[in-house]
Amino acid sequence: MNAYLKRVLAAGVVLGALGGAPALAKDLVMGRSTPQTVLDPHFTVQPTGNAMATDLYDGLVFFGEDLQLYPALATSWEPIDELTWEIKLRPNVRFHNGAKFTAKDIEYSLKRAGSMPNSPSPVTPQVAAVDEVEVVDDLTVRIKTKVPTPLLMNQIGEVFITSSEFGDVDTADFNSGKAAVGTGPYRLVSWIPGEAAELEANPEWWGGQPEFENVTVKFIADSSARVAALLSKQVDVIDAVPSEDVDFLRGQSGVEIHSSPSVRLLFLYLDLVNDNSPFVTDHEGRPLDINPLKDVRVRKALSKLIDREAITDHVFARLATPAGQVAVEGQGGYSKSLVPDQYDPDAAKVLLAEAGYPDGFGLTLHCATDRDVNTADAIQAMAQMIARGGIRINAVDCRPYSVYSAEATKGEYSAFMWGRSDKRPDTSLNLRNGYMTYDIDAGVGAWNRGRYSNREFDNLVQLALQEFDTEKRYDLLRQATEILIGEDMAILPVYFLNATWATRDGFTFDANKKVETSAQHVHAK
Amino acid sequence: MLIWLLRRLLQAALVLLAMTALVFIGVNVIGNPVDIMISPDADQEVRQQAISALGFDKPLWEQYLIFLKNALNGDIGNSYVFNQPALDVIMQRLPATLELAVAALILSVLIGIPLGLIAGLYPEIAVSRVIMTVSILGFSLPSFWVGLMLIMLFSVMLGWLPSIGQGETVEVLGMRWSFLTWDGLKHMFLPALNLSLYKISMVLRLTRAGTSETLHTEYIKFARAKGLSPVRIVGVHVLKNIMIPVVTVVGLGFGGTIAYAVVTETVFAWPGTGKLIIDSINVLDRPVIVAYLMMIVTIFVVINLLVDLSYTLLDPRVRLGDRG
Amino acid sequence: MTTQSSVTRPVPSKRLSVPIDEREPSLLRLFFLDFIRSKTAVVGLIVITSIIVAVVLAPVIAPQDPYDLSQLNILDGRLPPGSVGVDGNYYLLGTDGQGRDMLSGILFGLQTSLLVGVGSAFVAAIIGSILGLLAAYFGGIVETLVMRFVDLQLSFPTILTGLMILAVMGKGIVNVILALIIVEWAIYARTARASALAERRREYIEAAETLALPKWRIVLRHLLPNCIPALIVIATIQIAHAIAFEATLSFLGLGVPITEPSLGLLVANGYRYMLSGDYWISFLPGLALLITIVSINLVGDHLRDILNPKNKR
Repeated sequence: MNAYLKRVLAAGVVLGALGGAPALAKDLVMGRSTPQTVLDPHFTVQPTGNAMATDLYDGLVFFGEDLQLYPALATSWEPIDELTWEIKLRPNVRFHNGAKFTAKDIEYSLKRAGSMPNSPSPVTPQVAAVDEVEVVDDLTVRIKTKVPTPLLMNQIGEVFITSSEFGDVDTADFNSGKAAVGTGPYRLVSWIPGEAAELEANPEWWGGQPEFENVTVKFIADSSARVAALLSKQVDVIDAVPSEDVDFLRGQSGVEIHSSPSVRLLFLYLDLVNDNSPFVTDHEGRPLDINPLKDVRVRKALSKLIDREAITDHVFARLATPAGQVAVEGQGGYSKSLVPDQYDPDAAKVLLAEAGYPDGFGLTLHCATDRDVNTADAIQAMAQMIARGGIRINAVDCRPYSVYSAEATKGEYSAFMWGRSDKRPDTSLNLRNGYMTYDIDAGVGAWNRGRYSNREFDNLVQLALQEFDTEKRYDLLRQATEILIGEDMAILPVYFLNATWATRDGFTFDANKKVETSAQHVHAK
Repeated sequence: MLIWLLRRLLQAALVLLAMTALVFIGVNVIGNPVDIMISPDADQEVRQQAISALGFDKPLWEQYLIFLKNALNGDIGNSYVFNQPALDVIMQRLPATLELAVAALILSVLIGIPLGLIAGLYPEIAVSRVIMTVSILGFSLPSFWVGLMLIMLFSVMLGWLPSIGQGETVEVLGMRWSFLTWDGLKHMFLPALNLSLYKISMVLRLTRAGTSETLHTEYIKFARAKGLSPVRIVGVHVLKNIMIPVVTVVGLGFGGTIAYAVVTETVFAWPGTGKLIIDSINVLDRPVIVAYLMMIVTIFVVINLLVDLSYTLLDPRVRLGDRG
Repeated sequence: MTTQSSVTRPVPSKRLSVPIDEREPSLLRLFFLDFIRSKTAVVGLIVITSIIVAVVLAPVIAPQDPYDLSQLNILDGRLPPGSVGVDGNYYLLGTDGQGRDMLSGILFGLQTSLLVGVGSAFVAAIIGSILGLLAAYFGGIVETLVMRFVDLQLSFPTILTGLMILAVMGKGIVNVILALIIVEWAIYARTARASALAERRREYIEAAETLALPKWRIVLRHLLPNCIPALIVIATIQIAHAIAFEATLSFLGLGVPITEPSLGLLVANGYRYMLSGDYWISFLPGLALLITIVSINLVGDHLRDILNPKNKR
């Protein structure tokens, strides 16, 4: 028997009273789709490691609903030269165990986040720019960067701050609860990996008294089970409401739906590099030695064949929004001129004929079954539309993400659906990692799976990455996106998923585009 | 007998070796967890570092040898998702799965054998026909669908039973069990029923088949002619004859029940190993997959031994010593 | 000895063997008369036959080719039975989330499900029972080898084997059948061996051995017939099981391609809509699945009864 569970149990807290009496006025039971598998906030960037962290810990900054930065543990930050940022910290903040929060904790946490061994998804990229952390006094730190880094706060702002007093701790110490001590609005009471967690209010939180005395978070991965749990009053709030059940839930008395467009974009990658792309054929299914997808007219025709409204209406019950670019409104780099392509099969036909494919060609579409909701349904609907536009659909092949992601990243598909969330204040990192020319040495374009390459676009993004002036940076990013989508249609943006929650009588939820299901977003009515 | 046992254990060790090798090859063919989980902000360098930190850049045989060396020292490796020893991760969940599987097994025997006897002894009566027809439903319907129907009916519409999680648990021997509390039992009922439906039908059908076969054998006819009481005929002779297939199915099926809990646990959010293994396969958490399968194999070997031993007890014609 | 005489061979071999003293010209007729004694079995057979006819004629009688995406329209998605779509199509049994006509989907889905179920059960039964019989008869190294393979196979939980095989090989009907065979042969082997093992020790086998009858003859003519009832029970169960297993694989995201749904995949897809009341998407294919399996089992059950040498009245 492992030690940490014993300790959890020794504390005498085992989850109970699920189906029983209704929750007390100041208690909250949440049903969450993502299980918490580690409590160490520096182990992984996956939601399995940090979804609950927003309640337990604070970061230097807080990303608001408009995706911009707001003070959290840092009250102000400014560059003093190209390579140095000075950060002022919030006074009189205490950790859950009473220890005083100081600059040392910042130094400690940034260092720890950059050096987690054995993580398949390390937090390293968030602190990669940091060269040195200098503690000036208790409430001031200076951070030296390796290269000019205007986006430093966007990156290190995502690192959760833990207490330096625990020194050299490993994940087991967090899991046991010993080191899982933050400054956040709720304290950890108990946690059963992947099953449930109990939290209690931290009345001394700098942001004010939290609303609920006790919070229970139950991890319910299956969406129907989650809905059933809400209906049978075992939980008060659920996240990731399946779109199939939204209309039904709306009709239930006492149940409320809370929804907001999110930053999760689903788009179609197209193979822009191979001449004999693996899943492109001619219109009779025979191999083709030229790749029509490399022709921008073909890509634009494909985009016009997709009836995005029909997909968002019929596959997602309007819980998705047609997409015409990679940024959401309000995010730096958003372009007003890029609107989702309208369904226009006639124009598509003309474009295809111009490109030399009046009879179309053949294509296999790929997607992952277990990543984003209803992707398989959406891609089948897209296949219907593309097929009616005269392009032969050889197959729609959806595979588990474990298989799919490896093959897609290796470039083994020709046209495939992908989801990407960008909840940063601006799109610079998204554009750098996702769309700049794939270049191992420069470390850019690492996830550019379609292998889009345009020097002009690269230069604009590169300039933006060096630009300290926010307005100018946003403008550069906007221009870059207009090339990426408007001129080149490097990917086909299809829809932004909505994030959706449902609450029972007596509770309400702040729907947010960052798709956070923390207790802070729940309010009693 | 001792030699037989030793031989069996050696064979089990070989099975374990073959199984772990297959898992290594299988997982390797699919990919590695870094590509599934890595931050979309990571560049190629970070990715490469993560891959080599976890040893995925080494040739597969070397990874396997390292695993074997550590395994012999009792270390199967840390889960990539939980960042704690894979065996610990499994052991935390094993009690939940075990109690669910045992509950399903008990239900299958308690319901399956009596109904099967009725159907076998009185094949012509209407009740028997209903039993047999309903038993067909038991293994016809995909269990995930039945599970949802159960939730719809008993949790959502009637509100009698809870449908998610394990309920209140009690710690005994350092593990959490829910069958010791009323709340836990209520939580266990629907998933256990869901998991046992298939098994009930199997036991029921085997019991019936065995019963009607036995009734037509010479010695039962003889026993009847001799005037033995029907209770004794059924209780001793018939039951004894149907025990072999029933023990085989129930016993051998136990490992399968544990594995099939995958579906039931997913639908009922039961925090056992089945749910864990699906998640682990999805992210290629190899240490957990290996540890889980080793556990299953071990359970299986033990069950196999017990079943073979019980054969000898139930049917003296089957002898162990002289054959494999 | 009743156990030795009066063995009626089952259908697969299409050869009926009877003890010499009872040989009559009208054996098939006897079998037929035996069969129609059970009304339910006859109904089952009629239903199966009609299903097979419907499945074979599916491309002709189905209103739509449910596998041709250009014939589907997402705007017609989730229409209840008896609806008329945007293009004037009439959907007798409604549509699924993709706007696929449920009637056509069910007809084509039945095709896939039957193919998967019967195909895999048949091949697995042949492979498994041969190996199981050999193991029981020869013992020694043969038995050890076979039974260790059985152990290896059965110690891999079927569902996991299925997941692994399909994850590595990719989806598709052939791969599903292959996975099912790999998963199921061991069950037949185990069953055949278990029944044969008990039978092996009976006097008449020993008698046959002392008569120096050829080994293959003993295995085929004496051990096999005695294992058949058990194998038929297992096979009917396994056909049903194979169909449900395929549905489960589809539920977990593997199985057949999403654009060519089997009955199981239709049920799995429709299951998401149950809570919100769109019952037909999951319920109707589920019903078709149920009727098919129940009919198979009714026939199988009765076959088992009349084939069982110990049941001769």
